[in-house]
Amino acid sequence: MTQVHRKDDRPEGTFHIPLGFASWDVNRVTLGIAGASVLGFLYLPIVVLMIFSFNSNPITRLPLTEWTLKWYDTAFSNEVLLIALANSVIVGAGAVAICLVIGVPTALALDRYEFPGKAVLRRFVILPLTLPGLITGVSMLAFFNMMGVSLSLATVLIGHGTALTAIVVTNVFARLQRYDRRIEEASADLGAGPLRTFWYVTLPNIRSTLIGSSLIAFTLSFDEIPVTFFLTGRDNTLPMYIWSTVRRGITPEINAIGSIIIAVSICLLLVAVFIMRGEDRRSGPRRARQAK
Amino acid sequence: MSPIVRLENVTKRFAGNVLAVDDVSLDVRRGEFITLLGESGCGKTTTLRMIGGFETPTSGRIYLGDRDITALPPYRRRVNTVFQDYALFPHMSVEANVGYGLKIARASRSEIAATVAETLRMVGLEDKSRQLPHQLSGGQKQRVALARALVRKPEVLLLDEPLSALDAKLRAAMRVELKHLHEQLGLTFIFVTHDQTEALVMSDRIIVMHEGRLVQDGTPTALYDRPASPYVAGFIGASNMFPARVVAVNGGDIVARLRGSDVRCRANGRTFREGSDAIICVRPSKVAILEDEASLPEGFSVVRGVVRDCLFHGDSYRVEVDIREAEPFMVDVKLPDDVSHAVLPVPGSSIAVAVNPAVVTAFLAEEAW
Repeated sequence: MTQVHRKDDRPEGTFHIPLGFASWDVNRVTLGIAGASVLGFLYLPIVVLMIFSFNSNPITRLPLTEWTLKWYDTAFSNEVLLIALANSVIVGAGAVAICLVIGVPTALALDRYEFPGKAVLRRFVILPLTLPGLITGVSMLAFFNMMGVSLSLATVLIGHGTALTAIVVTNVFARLQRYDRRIEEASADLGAGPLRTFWYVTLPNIRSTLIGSSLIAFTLSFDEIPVTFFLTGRDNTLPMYIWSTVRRGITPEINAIGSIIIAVSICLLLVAVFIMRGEDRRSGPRRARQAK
Repeated sequence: MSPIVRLENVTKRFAGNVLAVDDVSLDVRRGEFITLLGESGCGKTTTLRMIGGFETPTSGRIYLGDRDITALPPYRRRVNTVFQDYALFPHMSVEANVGYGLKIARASRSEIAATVAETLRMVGLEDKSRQLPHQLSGGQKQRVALARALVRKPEVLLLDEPLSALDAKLRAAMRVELKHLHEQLGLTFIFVTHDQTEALVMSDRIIVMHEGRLVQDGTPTALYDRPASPYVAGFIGASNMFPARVVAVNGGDIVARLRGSDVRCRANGRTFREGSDAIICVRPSKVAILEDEASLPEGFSVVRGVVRDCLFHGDSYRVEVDIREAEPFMVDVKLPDDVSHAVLPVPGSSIAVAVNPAVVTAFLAEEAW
């Protein structure tokens, strides 16, 4: 955390450079440079991609020529690409649905019930997230083959759901741990049975976590390649399409679609973070329950 | 009249074999303000939670009126709770919090609005109805919690240390307010606290609990004047408590010998034998400094010692007298109206204290602390 020093409480001996309206320490300047370097390291390639998506030269190469939107135009008139995009949305939405249906009850069970094997379950539920997509993909492919299931978007969807359920479980579980369970007792006290308590009290209090983790899961599913590669049939998702196109050389069309995906992903993640933060601030940490 | 709440030999054992409540039986009369009082961990909150339905007794029965509610979940009991940290619904406005119980009971929209408005007016929060709980002060949250619990017109209102999160001044004001509310509504209140002042001020009857057991059940004055055990005597109000030896027994009176003095006291139904050990207990406010030994009332005992300290308590002084026991003997001296003329004992000087046998409680040494 940076600390804003006022003039009078600046530590003795700090070298002080007056920079116009504000007082700056050497510390703060160094910190700023370090921060900017990290951000540059992370985002420079993306910025480059975005710039070239507006460049008229069909070859991604400096110097920049003319400013244009035509690559966006070609991208949106490419039917194969649009179908791939639609497939990706379908898979993402389906995977999120699977994550929620499996993840929320799992998180609830982990939070409030004691049962044999709980500690093991808690760790194993997170495992698919840390497992390389390659392993998940190969093992599920073998499984589906063994069961005689033919590959399609549905198998991709199941694959993504398996890998991403952990995100919903961990987020919802963390939320439940921070939330004052006595409001559920209060609800029961006021006459609400378990279902109505869940609907009126529990759900509204974990809703933003659900939205947030769904967005993250969706984003991760949207650009997933390894699992998709093994589990898809004839249908292509967007990342698969891009990958197969790129093998023939990077076209500005890909830059354009890439820029759009980045923009949408950043927006979704910002929304997710923003929503989750608001909820925590409102309800505060759960207090320790004491038996008296 | 039959009791509104009855506990029959209720025991609660938690996982890990922790005995939280040990064979508690209790009748709560309709309209009574009853307080479960004890230190933390004495089982008072667990007892309340069993009445509310949040815990199930390991053994024993709980009745609400004539109905056995032992196994009923909280949402099937006509009992409402004011929780310790209020447990307000953070995502609902004050209005929605208070109206929740009615919405669950499927009351009509207009009925909910009317009852909520009326209840909020009763607790003085009509102007806060649209705010969220986190925008309220502690005292306001407290009132919302109270309104929310009252809106369903429960037969019994359970209050789990509702004042403990408030600051001292507000707490004192809320005590009075709660007591008035109880008188006004005529409901049965079961109140849990570790604060003896709270219990003494508000309750019709106090149940003192200690290590899961019920140790005394009585009115505040009975508890104060006739504590059933050394534990209760020590827990409620200030007490001088000393181990002593019984040196004489005649009829209902005994004489207990301290290191420096003999104290006459009533046996109060206990059987003491000469030579047995006892614990004697006297309130500092019920003894007086003896100015002139000749004026000692008939039958009173005299405790002699040396003044150790003199502590100002606002409307009185507490004189600590060293009587060669481990603890000093405390005497509360009420100040005269004109404080400047008060002659206070000087530390180091000898002093005599007159003790009326009627205000001394003697316990058998075997009685548990």
